[in-house]
Amino acid sequence: MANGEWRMASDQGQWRMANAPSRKSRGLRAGLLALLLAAVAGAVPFERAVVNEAWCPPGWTVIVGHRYGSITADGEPGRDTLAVEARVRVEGSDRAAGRAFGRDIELSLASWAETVFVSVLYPELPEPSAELSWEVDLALVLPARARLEVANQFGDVTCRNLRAGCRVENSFGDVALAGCRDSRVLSRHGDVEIAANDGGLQVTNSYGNVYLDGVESRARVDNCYGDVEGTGLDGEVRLANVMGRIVTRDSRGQVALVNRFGEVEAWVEDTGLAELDVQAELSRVRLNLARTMPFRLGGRVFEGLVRCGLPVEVRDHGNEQVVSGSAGRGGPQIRLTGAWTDFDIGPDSTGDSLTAPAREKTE
Amino acid sequence: MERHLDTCPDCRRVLAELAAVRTAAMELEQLEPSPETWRAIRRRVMPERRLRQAWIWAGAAAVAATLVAVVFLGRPGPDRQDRLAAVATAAPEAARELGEQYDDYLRGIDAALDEIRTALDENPGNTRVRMALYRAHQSRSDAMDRMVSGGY
Repeated sequence: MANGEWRMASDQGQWRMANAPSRKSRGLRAGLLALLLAAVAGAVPFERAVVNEAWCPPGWTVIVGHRYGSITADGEPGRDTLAVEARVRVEGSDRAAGRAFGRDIELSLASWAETVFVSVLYPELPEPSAELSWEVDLALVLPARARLEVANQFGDVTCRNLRAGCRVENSFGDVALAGCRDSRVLSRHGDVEIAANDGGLQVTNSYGNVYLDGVESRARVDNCYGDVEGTGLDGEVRLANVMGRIVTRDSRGQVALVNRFGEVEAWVEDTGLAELDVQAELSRVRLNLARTMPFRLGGRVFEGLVRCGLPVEVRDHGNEQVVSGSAGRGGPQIRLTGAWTDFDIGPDSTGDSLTAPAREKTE
Repeated sequence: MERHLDTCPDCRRVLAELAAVRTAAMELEQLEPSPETWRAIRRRVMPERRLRQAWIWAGAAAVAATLVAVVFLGRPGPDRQDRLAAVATAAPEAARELGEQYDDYLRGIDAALDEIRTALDENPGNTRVRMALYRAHQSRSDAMDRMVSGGY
């Protein structure tokens, strides 16, 4: 099992990640920094675990409001309770004040109107001279058919096997969803990783990257100031980005790629791709078509250049270039729209090659 | 300086932030600016000394517009030189749009820094908050580097 890959566990049909991609080095760095800071300050952290449980049958909603810690949420089929473990960690120059503060932190589970509200209750902060710092990590286990809503800051959020919808709002941390259904993510200053999502997906992210792997049905991603990479997209998918790259491969269904001040690179290699619509402004686009792939291609580029190594017609029309052509029978309908953008099309196109994600096909 | 710090909480806060950033930065590998960075700075500085002459203004603007076109549209070949004239005409607008986008980027970073500082006031030693502070400063620095290099 390669690092960073999501695989179906053999026993319960659940998705598990073999290793945390891309966040490992940051977590290690954060841990080293924490050790360094603790050593310099002479502080010994106070740690404590708090557990709580509440009745929560399938169909209920779990709402979590949190900051200064990570949140993991695992959905389990056949479950009718919500279990939460809070790991408390307090550091400070005043060890007694830190212990007292940490001991008085409570984990609250409050139920009302088929909803369980999860929150961490803090005692009054001691004097600033105690120089306390704290973090509380939450681990939730809930019914796979319970809906989850999370709002968090300064921590990562990880959700697995949530089949009744989840809504995650996070900032200053990464978000990872695997095996979920009907997901919505609003994120800032962190990466978003979505694997094996079906139903609907909506991701709005800024100052970070978005990675999609195995996203089915309707999906919309709006990102800025980062990259968007999609593999195994299948359904109605729209990826939009500003000042970053968009890279897709192994796509099926209907895919729309929109970018501004960035690069777009798309592989067309599956006849299951019905439509590919690329709109780019002040960007560069590279379209890789397999030599034996049938296609129907059309497009207009204003003040840009179309370079194509395939048998298509490229005509100058004032300050536009119009491209059209087809090969074989059927194949995807490819539409290109560009302004101040160069398009490189086909396996024989000239120009700088953009980075290609490594991929091994299994037959 | 020390007497001032005794009486000024704002400056004490800034000093604490800088100390936190420096601590985190010492954990990182040393990076050198690309040669293109210094060339780009020199290109920006040198024309300003000659801006008193109108014909130098025109020449510098044409070169800058061509550079913007090259950055946006890649290496020109012999079949694209006829387009560069049109691109150079519109390049100032493209450069303005890119500048506005960078302004938006930097405003977002500055807003994030305000949020992080508020969090540091509440939870001063929290590792995640300090890492967020470092990353925000790093993002700002990277953006300035890209702007100077003429890329995006």
